[in-house]
Formats: sequence, C-alpha cells, structure tokens
Amino acid sequence: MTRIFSTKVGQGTVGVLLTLTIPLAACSNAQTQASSPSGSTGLASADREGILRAAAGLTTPSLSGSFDPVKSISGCDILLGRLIFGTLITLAPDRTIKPGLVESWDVVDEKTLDLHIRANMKFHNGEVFDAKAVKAGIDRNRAKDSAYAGSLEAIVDAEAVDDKTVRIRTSRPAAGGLLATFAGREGMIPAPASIADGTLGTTPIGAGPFKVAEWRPGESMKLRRHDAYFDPDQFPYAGIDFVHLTDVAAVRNALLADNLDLGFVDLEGIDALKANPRTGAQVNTSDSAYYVNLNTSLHDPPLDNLKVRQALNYAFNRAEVAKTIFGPTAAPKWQIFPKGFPGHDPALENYYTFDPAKAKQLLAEAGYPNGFAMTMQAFPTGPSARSAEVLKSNLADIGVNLTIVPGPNMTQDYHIDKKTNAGQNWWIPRTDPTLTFLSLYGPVGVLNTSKYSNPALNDIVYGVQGSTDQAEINTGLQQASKIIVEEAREIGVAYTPSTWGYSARVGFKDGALRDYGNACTGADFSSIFIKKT
Amino acid sequence: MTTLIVNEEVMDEVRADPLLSVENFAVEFATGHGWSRVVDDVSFSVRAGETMGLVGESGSGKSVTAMSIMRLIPTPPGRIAAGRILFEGQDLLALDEPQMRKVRGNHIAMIFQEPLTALNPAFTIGDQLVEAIRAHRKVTRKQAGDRAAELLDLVGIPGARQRLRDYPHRFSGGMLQRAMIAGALACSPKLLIADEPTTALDVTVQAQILTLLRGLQQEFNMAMLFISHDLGVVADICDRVAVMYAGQIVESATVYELFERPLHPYTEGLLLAMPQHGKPTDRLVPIPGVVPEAASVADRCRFETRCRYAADECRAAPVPLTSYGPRATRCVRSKDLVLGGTS
Amino acid sequence: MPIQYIVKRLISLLPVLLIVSIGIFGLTYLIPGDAAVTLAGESASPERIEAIRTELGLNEAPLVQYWTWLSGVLHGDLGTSLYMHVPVTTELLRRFPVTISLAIGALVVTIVGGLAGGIAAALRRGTWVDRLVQGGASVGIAMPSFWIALILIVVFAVNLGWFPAIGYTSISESPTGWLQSITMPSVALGAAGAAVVARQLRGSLIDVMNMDYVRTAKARGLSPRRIVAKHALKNAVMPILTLLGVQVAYLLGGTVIVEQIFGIPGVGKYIYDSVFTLDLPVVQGAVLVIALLVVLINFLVDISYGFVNPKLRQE
Repeated sequence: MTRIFSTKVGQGTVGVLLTLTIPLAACSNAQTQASSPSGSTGLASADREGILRAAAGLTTPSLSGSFDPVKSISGCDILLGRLIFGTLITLAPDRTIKPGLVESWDVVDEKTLDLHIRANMKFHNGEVFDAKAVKAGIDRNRAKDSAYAGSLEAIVDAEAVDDKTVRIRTSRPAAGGLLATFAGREGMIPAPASIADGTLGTTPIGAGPFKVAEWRPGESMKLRRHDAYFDPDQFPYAGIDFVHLTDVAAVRNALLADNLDLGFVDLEGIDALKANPRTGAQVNTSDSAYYVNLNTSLHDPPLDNLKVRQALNYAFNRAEVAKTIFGPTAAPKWQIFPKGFPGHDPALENYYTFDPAKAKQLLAEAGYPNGFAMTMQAFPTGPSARSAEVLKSNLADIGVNLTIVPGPNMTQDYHIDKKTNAGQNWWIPRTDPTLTFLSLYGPVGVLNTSKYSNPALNDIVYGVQGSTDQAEINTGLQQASKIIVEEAREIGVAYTPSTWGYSARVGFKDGALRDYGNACTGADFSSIFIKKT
Repeated sequence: MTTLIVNEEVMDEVRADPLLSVENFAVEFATGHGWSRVVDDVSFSVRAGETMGLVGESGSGKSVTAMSIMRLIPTPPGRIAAGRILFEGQDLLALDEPQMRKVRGNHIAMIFQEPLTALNPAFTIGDQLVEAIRAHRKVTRKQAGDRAAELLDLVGIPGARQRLRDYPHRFSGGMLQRAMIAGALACSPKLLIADEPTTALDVTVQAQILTLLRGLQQEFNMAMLFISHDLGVVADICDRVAVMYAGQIVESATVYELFERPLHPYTEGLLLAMPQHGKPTDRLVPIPGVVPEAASVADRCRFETRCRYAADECRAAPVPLTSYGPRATRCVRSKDLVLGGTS
Repeated sequence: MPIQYIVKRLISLLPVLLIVSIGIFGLTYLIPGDAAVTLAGESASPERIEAIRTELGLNEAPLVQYWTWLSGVLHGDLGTSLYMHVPVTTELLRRFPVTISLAIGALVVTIVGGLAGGIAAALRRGTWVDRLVQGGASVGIAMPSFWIALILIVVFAVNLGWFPAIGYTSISESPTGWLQSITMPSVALGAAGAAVVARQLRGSLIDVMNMDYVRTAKARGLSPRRIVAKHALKNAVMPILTLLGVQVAYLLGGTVIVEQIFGIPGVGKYIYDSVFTLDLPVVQGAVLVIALLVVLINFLVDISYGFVNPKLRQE
C-alpha cells in the first residue's frame, strides 16, 4: 500500500498511483475523429440548461489549494482538471485515446510528434487557445520542478510550428506513450495570462468545458458551461455543482433525498439506490486493484527465490477473497490488466489457481520445507485489511508465518525504510499503461525500491511507448504482463469495482455511466446528460 | 378587596357564622395495604378575630388538617374522604384549583415550622414579598416594593428597605420567620394558619414571635389557627383549643377551661407532661407508649391503649365526640372521672 | 461578583491552557503517517521527501517544533494548511460561524428538549408522560449521534423530503434554508444532551418540588406555572448548568461526526478532512480553538453559578 498521494475514497485512506491504460488508435496521419458524443440516444431529451449536482472530494486534491497543474500532488486532481482545463487527448471508454483539445496528430518520424490543435478555441478568459499557448503549457509541465518532470522526461523540445501545430521531439520513440500521457494531468494547459499574472494558483483558467463560477475550498465548487468549448454536445448541460462529500453513506442519503445527482457509493448503497425509483446505481469494472507488492525484498532470501514467490501465489485463495471480501462484482487480480482493458491476456487468467499442495511442494523444492517467516505492511482498515488476514491464514497453511504490520505510512516505512518484506498497495493505472511497469519494475520507478531491472521487460515497455498501433501496443502489454506474472513479482488480490449512484434526473448517452476507475479520478461527465422534465 | 368566593350579599347573611368551619372532615392516604384514614371526623370552627389552637403529638393529624384547609395535601397519595371546610360559608373543598389559588395567600395565609427552608434561597426577601403581594393585588412592582418594606418594618425587622435586597441566607431563623409572617400578611388575610411557627426557634425568639403574632392579630383583626404540640405555647396565644389524638379531636374547650379542668385523660396527660413556671421539671410525667395506628384501634377508644383510666367500656365501641355546652370530649368515662388541670 | 474573583479564575486557567496546548501538539505525533510523504507528490524520491520534511521543520526536535508553533499561536498565527495553502486562522474564521450555528442549534435542542422533557416528566410523575420521557431519554443517551442522524435522514430527508440530507445554507443566504439545513444536524447532535438534561432535570425538579419554599409559594397562591418556572427551575437548574458545560464539550466533539454525515462545511469537517490528509497545522489549530472554546465555556458556567447561587455572589 503506497501512500503516493492519499485521499479519502469510499471507505479508507488509500494510496493511489495513477494511470490509465490507453492505447491508442492514433496512427500517423490525421486521425481525425470528430469527437462528438457517440450514440447520442438521449440527447434530444437533454435539458441543456440543467445543473448537475455531484459529490466529490474537494479537499484532498491539491487543485483545491492551488489550481496550478504543475503543483498537483494528487492524481485525483484530474477530476476537476478535465472539466476546467480539459486535456489535450482524451480516453475512450475502452481506454484507447481520442482527440481532446488536440483534434488530430501525426507521427512525423519515430522521434517527432505533431499535435494539431482545434480551430477557434478560446480559454475562459477569452485568450486564444493556440499552438503558442499549448507549447508554453507543455514546456511548463515538463520543467524540472513540475510534478510531471518524470512522466514527460522523453520530451526534448516542443515547438509551435504554426498557429495550430505543436511539434514535439523526443529522445526516444515515445509518441504512443506521450499521447496517452497527455490524456492525464500532463495534458492540462492553463491560460497564458493566468500564468503571467500569478493568479493561476487561486483562479484556474483553462480551455476546458467548464469555468469556475464559485469556489469554496473544502466545501463546494460551481462550474458553468464555457460557451466557446468546441463541442456543445459533449457535456450537454449548463454546469456542475460539486459538493465536497466523500462519506459513502452521506452520498447515498443525499441521492435518496434528491439532494444530489451523482456520487460514489459503496456496495450497500448500490442496493438501496436500485430499490428506490428516484435513484439508480451502477457497478463498473475498474482497473484499480489491490495487490501485494514484493518488490522491496526481491533481492533478499527467501523472496529472491522464484519458487518461493510462486508458492506464495499458489497458496493465496484470491478468487474466494475477491468474491467474499471485495463483493460479488470484484474480479480477482491474476495479471496486470483486467478483462476488457488493453493488455489483458486471457491465457494468464487463473495462472496461480489456489493449490496449497503445489505451494508446499514448491517451497520444499526451494529449500524451505518447513516454511519461513515474513512481514507485510497492510492497510489498517477496510476490505484490504481483511484480505491481508486471509493471506496470513492461507500462508500459515503452507508453513509461512506472515506478520502483518498495519500502518498507513507505506511510502516511508516500506519503500524508503524497507521495514517489511512485502506491502499492500492499491494501484490506479495511469493514462499511459506502460507506467505501471516503469513505476513498479522500471529503471526510474519510484516504487521499484529494490532497483530491480529486467532489460527484456524494459525493451518491451519502451517499444510500446513508441508505438501508436493498438494491436502492437496490446501485444507488448501482454508480453510485459506475462513476465511479471510468471516471475511472480507480486501477489494480485482483486480489481475493485467502481460503484456509482445517480438520480433519476440523470440519463446516459450510451445507456450507461462511464468512469475513470474510482471515486477520486471520477466519473466521465461526458457520458451524462440531464433529462428534461 | 372583594371576595371572590361568594357575593357580598351572601357574605353579610353569614357574617355571624364562624369564619372557618371544619365539619366531619376526614383525610386518607394510600398505603401499601389500602387507604389509611389519618384524619377522621374532625370538626371545629374558628370565628373572626379569634385564635384557635390545634394541639397534639406528631402524627395526630393536626398538620394534615391544617394543610387540608389550604388544599395543599398532595392528591395522590392523599384524598379527602369526607366532610366540608366552610370558609365564610363557602365550601373550600368544592372550589376548583384556580378558585382555590385566589383563596391561598389572599384570604387564608399560612406560615410554617421551619423558617430556614421556607423561603427560596435563590431569590431576595424583597422579591419574594413583592411576589406574594402581586399574586393577589394589581399593583406596580414599585408599589409592591414599598408595601414589602412596610411589611418588613411591621414585623420588626430594622432597616427594612435595605434588607429587602438580602437573600434568605443572610437572615437568622427568627428574622426569617418574621419575613414569612410579613409575606403572610401581604394581602391582609382573614385567617392565618400558623403551623408550629415557633417550634424550630430559640426560646427567647419564640416569645418574640408569639408576641409579634398576637400584636399583629389584633392590629389586622385576623383570625388565627395555631397548630402546636406545645400546650404551653397554646396557652400563651390561643382563645380556644382543640386537642387531636390519632386523627381525631378528643377534646375542645376554651384555653382557660381546658387547663382548669381537662375532660379527656389525654389532655390531662399533655398537661402533666408540660413544664410550668415554678414547678421542678423532674415532676413531669410523660404519657407512656406511642400513638397507635388508627386502624388498629378503630373499634374502641383510640387512647385506650395508653390510658391509665381505661375500663371495659372503653374497649366496647368507638367513642363519639360528646358536647357539654361549649365544650366537647371524646371519652365515655368523662362523667366519672375528675381529671387534674393546672392550678 | 467581584472582578477579582473572575480575574483569579482566569489566571488559574493558564496552566490548563498550557497543558492543553502541549497535549494537542503531542497528539499530532500519534497520527500515523507523514505529511511530507504526501506533499512530495506521487513521483517523489526519498531525497525530495527529506527536503520537504526539512522545509516543514519536521526534523526539528519536538520541543523546538512546539515552541515555534506556540509562539505563532500566541501571535494569532495558527500556521498555513499544507494542502489548501490558506492560513488556518482565516479558514477557521470562515468555518466557525457554521459550526457555531450548528452548536447553538444543538444546544437549543438540548436545552428546550431537556427542559420540556424534564419538566413534563417531573410534573406528571408516574404517568405515561413520565414513562415516555424516561424511555426516550434512555434511548437518546444510548444511541450514538450518527445513528440518530441516519434515522433522521431516512425519515425526514429520504422519505418525507422535508429537510435536505446534506449541505449547509448560511443564514445570510436564506434564513429558511439555514433553518432547514441546520435542523436535523442540530437534533442529531443535541438529542443525547437533551436526554441527559431531561433525566437530570426530572430528578432535581422532583427534589425541588418537595422543598419547603415550594410549599410556601403554593400557600401564597402562586400559579403552578410560576412556581415551576421561577422557584423550582432556578434551583433545579444548578446541577444542569454543570452538565451543560460538559455537554457543550461533547457537542463540539460531536460536530466532527455530524458535520461529516450531513456534509456541513464547518470546523468539525475541517478537522476530519485534515486528519485524513495529515494536515497537521489545521488539526492542531482547529483542535486548539475547540479546546479553548470548551475551557471558556466551562469558565462561563463556573461564573454563571454565581448568578444562580446568591451565596457565591455575596460572599
């Protein structure tokens, strides 16, 4: 469990990393998808003057303190960032990339990427959203003291070729990775004037679909439609009133009492909301997952032994844990990417099917017939804490004595001070799926505390970053995933479902609510419309 | 002040009658095993301007009787089982609570045994006097304040106006009883019920209070029902006296007659137990035994168990109160016995 | 009451305040976790975390940190929120009216509910009214505020729709909106207090109604209302005052939970959010101010004894 940034989501403080799996369809040459909302079934009946009432955590994200994207310390900032600044690239429901503020792109050569900016775009303050502004924003985002210095490190230079084109040169082939990365916080571009006059921190001005009408830190935020936004159908309502509310019970009650239109709830809330005619609920598959990180001890016995790590995986009844602890809609985590996401490999499902006998045998082969003792940091409360108890009991059955050290300070205690052999983590993939490998097992990964290095893995991952071909990307991700699984570098636990409640006022363009994986990264507000009454 | 009970014409007709007339009055209290009659067949009257004494030991029912006149016994657990209490011809028992409130403190006032706790410690003497006045008189706070100072002065408290601002804890017991009396006089009542008003006080203070009461009674031409266990005090202040025993009146007479020649052995016993000037106290003769449960002696003379003159006839049946002219006694042997009074 | 008495009592509070400040400062060491790690962001190196830690002064000796904090506090500077980048004092001033209005609402519920229940039960002793009040009081004391809150929400917000389930409207925005938004939280927060007060008041009122001075008041022909409201209550209320001092402390503590449940942006929610983000300056500042408030209220309760009990005043 890593407290990379912590936020109160649902039922516990969780450490989160960010990402998203992306992949893209962007091939060279003018991938010009008009990004009008797909399947606008409900749009005719949309109340375009309606205001959506939504719950969100408005304290934890640094955006609530400073709106300057480069000062962001939390992946959750993307929730407001998408709405206020917009992003250069956006993510489709299948986690492939789509045009955002950038209308199309060209991979000029393997180290050169051209971004074509939409015409007639304006920031909220009336400034023109052009190549110059985008270049300045990208340069600012990749600067040494920026929060994104690491994720944009491949960029050598950005240049405004003309009003509508920004040319990016990279140190290695990275076009696919960059495009995916620009769907995240790295793709937020503030208005130049707000940077110049130093007001960006308190008054965010972007070119996104909504401008900030009222802001009460830790309390509420009112967003209102930015009329110059390029696609009026993408968010077909007049604004969003966010209220700072993270308690799942409060969100449920507020929905039931018709004080709210959208919020993250828990499984218990799902049932209550479905039972009420005024509200509805939806459980989405998510690629956010709990797993047990073994990285810190990869070089030390006994975890340096592959058979030992495999034994631990065989000993753990993750299918049962996923079902009974994380709920009927949770999927056990067998590999890096869940079903339905790029990089998922059906062949890896049930790879370490629960088999204590085999686990014992592997232990014996590894030279530990009587087991051994190890320690693990775990979240102190919530389902993850209960899953840790099951793991402890499963491992005891094969003679491994697991001591659980509850504590929220994972980064310090586990990754820096290395106080335990293993640690529970909750991982939210970033928009660029390769960052999962790079962060945990790559040469610059902050969570790669044992400095584990596998050149074969690195080659595959960088290859994926350089590619804009979805099939190629998919294969690469599968290969990388397979390496991690076969080498048993972690013990997967479960993909946590994202659980949303909504009011009957709300309709969905595709018939279903889309989201970005969890409460903090948020729902996809472009999948929503407000019904006319 | 117009009386609120009955109209003036009616009042004129009954003026000759006693101010207060208690008739065949009975009170019962709920106990674990049914109703227990603690006051039984009590009749007496108080005429305007006179002082009537009600004497008896603890538990004789005298205080319950007094509280009943004010309708201040809690119901439940108590209940009035029989009788009438006529005040200026009006049966107080027939009044509803708001009407009764207009009698209390206005036509009939009451003072109590324990002055230290009888006033609210959280309010000044003046406040509580003003309140007593304004309960029945439509006067301004200022007028009531002046009247309160007058009253305090009247009951002999020096520096009355200043002392109005004092809280009760700054007053001695005697002064508090004076303040209580001042409060009782606030609305010039026709009847003052004084329930053992001197019992808790020092002997010297007792005498002062009695003197004060006597003086005020004459000044206000006020009738007084004086309740005491102490025949000596009663002799000091009362015109007539009724002796109660085990819930019943056993003898009534003028003070002079009672002391001169008691008709009931219990009265004789009280007299013998009473210290008198010029007599050595070792000659006091206490009444043997204790007051019995009324129910256990309901079928006979209630005093029989402690009476040195008890005979078979005393145990035969309950004894009725028999009148001898202005006197009355509840003793079947009263004709046979010659009892000793104080000389 | 002599000024000296008040001054003397105030001076005696100083050591209390010192201990409170040490306690609050020390308490934050018990919160697991490290703000520097959070602040460093998600791609932080150990060096960066260390740098932030040094910047925040987290590497100083505890005594030095305490002194730095305390001298700031004495100058009215409670520090700056690590996340919101807003001075804690500013934010507290913005949020205090919210929490105070909730606390006052809860206090009104406590006092009105407690007085009404206590008086009704005492005057109708042994009747169904008494049994109802006593039963209700037992339930009120036993039920935690969040449970009462949830029941209220289900009944009055979800099913009847009379009150909003969440949110706060300031009184300047809309007085009726304010009343609506504050009603259920106030009841949830004040119910336990009302139960305690009702129970205590019933007992002391029954005692007081048996006092001689109440008999005197009756004998003077005063109305029952006046007897209860003036003579009995003023004396019966004495033990209640002590109780209220304690209740206010409970109540301010309770705002942390109740504000969370009702999504009310007051000091309690500020503390709650800040504990989870390890925003130590906020936690320390907000808890300190709440603690000061509790000390102050208990001081006022002490002083108020003098007004109820004339013996203390005149001597």
